[in-house]
Amino acid sequence: MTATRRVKEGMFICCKVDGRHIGVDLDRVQEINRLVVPTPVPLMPPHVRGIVNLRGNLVTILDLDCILRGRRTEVGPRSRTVVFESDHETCGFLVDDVGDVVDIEGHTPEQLSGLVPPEQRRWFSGLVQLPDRLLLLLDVDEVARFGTSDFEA
Amino acid sequence: MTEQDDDLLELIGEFATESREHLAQVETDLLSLENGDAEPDAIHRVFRAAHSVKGAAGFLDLNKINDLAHVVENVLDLLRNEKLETSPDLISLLLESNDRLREMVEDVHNSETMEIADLLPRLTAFAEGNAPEAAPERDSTEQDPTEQYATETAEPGPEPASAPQDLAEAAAPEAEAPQANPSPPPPAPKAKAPVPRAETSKPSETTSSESIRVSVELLDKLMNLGGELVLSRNQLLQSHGSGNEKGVTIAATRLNQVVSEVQESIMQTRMQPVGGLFQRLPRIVRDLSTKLQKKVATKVAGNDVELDRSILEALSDPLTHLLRNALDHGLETPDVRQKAGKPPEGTVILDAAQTGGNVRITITDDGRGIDPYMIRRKAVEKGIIEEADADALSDHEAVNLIFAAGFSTAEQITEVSGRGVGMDVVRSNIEKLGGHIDIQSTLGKGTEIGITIPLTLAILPAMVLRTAAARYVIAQANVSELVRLRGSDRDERIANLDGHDVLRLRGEVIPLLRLGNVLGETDDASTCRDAATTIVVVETGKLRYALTVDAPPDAEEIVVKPLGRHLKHRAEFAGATILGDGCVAMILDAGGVADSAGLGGKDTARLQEDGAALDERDKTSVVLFRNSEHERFAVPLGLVDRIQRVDASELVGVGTRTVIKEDDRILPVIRLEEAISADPWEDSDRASVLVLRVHDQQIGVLAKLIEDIRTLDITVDGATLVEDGILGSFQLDESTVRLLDVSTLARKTNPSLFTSEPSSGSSKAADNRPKRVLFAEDTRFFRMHVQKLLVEAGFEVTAMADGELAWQEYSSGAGPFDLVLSDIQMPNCDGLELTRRIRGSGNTDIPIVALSSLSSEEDQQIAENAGVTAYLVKLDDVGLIEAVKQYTGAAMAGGRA
Repeated sequence: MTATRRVKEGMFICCKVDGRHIGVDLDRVQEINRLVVPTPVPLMPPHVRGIVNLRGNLVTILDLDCILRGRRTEVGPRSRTVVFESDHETCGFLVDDVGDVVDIEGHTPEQLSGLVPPEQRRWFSGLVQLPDRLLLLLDVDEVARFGTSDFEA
Repeated sequence: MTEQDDDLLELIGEFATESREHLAQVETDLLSLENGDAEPDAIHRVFRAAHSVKGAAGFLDLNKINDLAHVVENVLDLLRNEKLETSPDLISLLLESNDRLREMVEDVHNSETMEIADLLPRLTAFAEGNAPEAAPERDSTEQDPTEQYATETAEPGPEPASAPQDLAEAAAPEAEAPQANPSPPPPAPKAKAPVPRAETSKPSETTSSESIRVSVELLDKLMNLGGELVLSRNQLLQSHGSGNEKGVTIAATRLNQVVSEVQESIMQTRMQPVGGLFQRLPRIVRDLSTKLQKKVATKVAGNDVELDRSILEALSDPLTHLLRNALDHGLETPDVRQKAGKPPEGTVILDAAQTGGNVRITITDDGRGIDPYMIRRKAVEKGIIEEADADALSDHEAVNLIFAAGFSTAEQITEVSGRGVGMDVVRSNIEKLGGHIDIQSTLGKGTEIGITIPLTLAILPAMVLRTAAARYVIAQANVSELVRLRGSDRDERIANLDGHDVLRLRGEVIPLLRLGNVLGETDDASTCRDAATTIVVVETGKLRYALTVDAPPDAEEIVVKPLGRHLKHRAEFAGATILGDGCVAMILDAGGVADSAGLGGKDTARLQEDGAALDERDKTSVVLFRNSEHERFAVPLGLVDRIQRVDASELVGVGTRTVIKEDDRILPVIRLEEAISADPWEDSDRASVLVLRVHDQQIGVLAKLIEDIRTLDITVDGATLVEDGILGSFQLDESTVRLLDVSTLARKTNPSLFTSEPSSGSSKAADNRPKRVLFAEDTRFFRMHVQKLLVEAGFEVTAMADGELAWQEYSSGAGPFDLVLSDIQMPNCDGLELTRRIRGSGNTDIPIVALSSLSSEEDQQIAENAGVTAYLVKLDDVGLIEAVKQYTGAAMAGGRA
């Protein structure tokens, strides 16, 4: 686990989640969809928002901020789903908005411990200071594991 | 990884696929060579296969495979050129070598580490023509095969024939089977060592191959269709862009057609002949029959029938298991067979045939069959079933008990089968595939096991169910029927037992769930407003339950998609699918839904017992008959004196009426079509006459075919199909049955017999007020019917839904009543209890008339003991009116006197 937590260099997609900027490794992202309302699945925990039909493939949509901080993401006109593959399975994160793609090379890495509460640190692989904002680098696999049998609490 | 490595890996993969096919063919051909029914070029085919494998293996530096294939090729070459003759032990050795080759091919990357040194010298010995004679002959008949195996492996020896496990095999038959005969059946007493390779290599044989072969023709077709798809899309975009509506329609139609074809073709790529699966089975038979010292001929049919490859793979283990059972438990040893007058050689037939969207595979043996008595005894012994229940089972049902969990009938647990985890696992595996297994067995004659499975798993006929919030899908295989209840029926058919809703369906009590509630939707009671309730009766194999849904379901063929790992933890769902409109819907797992609702436990069993008790009270026995193919009628059994068979010639027409002459009297016979709207009587030589007793007069009803006498929970629809002579109709076994109003029929057709018309004024009391009747009856239909009848006859009727309510009405002083009329079987307070209370309150005068569908003398006696004045059978309307008149009149007369 720790080995993967070093700050990866390269391109990240900036997602906005409840005012925070969260970076998702561009290499991992398969596509970003506008406002595809997932079909809710009954009897599921709150972070599982449902399923969408992506060209014949069923993709589970997870509420990113619900996993990170327990806040339900309201679906609005700027909502996006970020689709990625983790453990050989396609999933999507529901986020408030998706912004630009940034290259974090050359930007200053920061210590997570100073800015992120301890219980949230497991979700991030790093933190960089961009000129105008702080970017939290998401550990996609760890977040996608939440609520499954592979998740180590 | 370099590109070169990639290329090599790809080549090795292709080699494995190709070799697998070659070697499978080799096995079939070797077996046919042994049986003597080989095609002429079988030996050449085997040779070429070995040659190809050798060549490719050499090219890829797979030395072990190459070496073994090379030696095999040498032996085959000699056989091919008739320099060597086939013998069972040679075939065995070649089969063993073939197994080893397959094993190596399945695990190509480790093939270099596998051992082939045990095979090479023996093959070489054959090739040099100096093999087995050297081995000492031994009579191994008495020896336990495994023991023999153990001793022989312990015997080291340098000479070729001493290679361990096949020593006996190589030795024994040499002396027994004449070499000249190329096809001796494996001599029975040759209790040779088991062929252990067949066991160990089995898992790899079932390993799903990651690539399959698709014919170029099919690929070409798919390519064409792909092109068609692009064209259709372009057409659609263009028409849509230019607002050409007609063009859009045309494009959509075309797209529809192309897509259907694409789907069908893609399905075809997954279809593979059953032969691939069957191919392995003769080998298993060969090995097992030798081990069990039985003679078995295998016949295979329907090799060309195709099934989805995932189903074929999943069928492999169950079929092997069934085959083993047939050989071990089914077929007898040759001497037992001969004593039973059968040929010493048993037959096992494997057959596959396509019927509609299903494939039926049967395994038939001509062995000893299954003894239903034994099965019943075992099932009771093992606590699978209660003794009383076991006795009630038909033989066929009893035989099917072998599929129950924890059942193994083998007197002795053998190595081959009978570990007690067999048939229930087979059944559950088949059911997982959406299939069904059944067994037919005739004691002494043999057993047939049939497996019915869908052609493919990928497309599932399903029903789309609606709840208030969403749509869900359930496999049609799980839906046994749909029930639609209108408002008034709902109260009768849905009961509440201990807080659980139950549906009463043709005498059965089924737990009833609201689908939305099971799935955690908040109850907005939306269905209560609807005119009708839709109920889906679900069958899981273990239990039946009913689901209330919000709208009549639609049938749709769906493509099953697996659930992601975040969704897998709920047993209620089996998967998800995309509906015709592109929306996603969850597929319900019928068993999971039942579990999550807590069904199937003790609660349900108790519920059903309670339900059975609840049901008793409304059961009415009727005689069912029909006069034409489509029309069914029922008459209450209580009104039937006897059923008489008559010759057509005995029916005599008198004026417009029909009669039968009996010794000294004449029985009027009603032809239904003359009294009500019914199909005309279809002439036939023989007929039945239902002789009914209507107010102490006998009258016959002509019936072409008496079907059955059934005790039913009749919920009569008294609104539709009603006319003079018909009380109403009810549904039975998916057809409509009309319940005859015998009194009206009798009066209508034979008015002279029933002179005393109602409304003759005697229903008025001396003070000219209408006579008052307190009437207790819980079945709505009867309550309405009798009330109407009495009111028409001039009585004032207070009708109550059970004895308790009637008692309250009686004791509240709402009366005085001139007569109490009561059903016997009622909830809360039955008719007998009501009678006792009334009599107990000191009123011994008021006439109490009991109505019942039970007409035995014993029942009447009990009622009379309770204080009932008269006991009448339900639905004898004339008799009822007469009795009510008589007793109210008598009571008044008595009162005046």
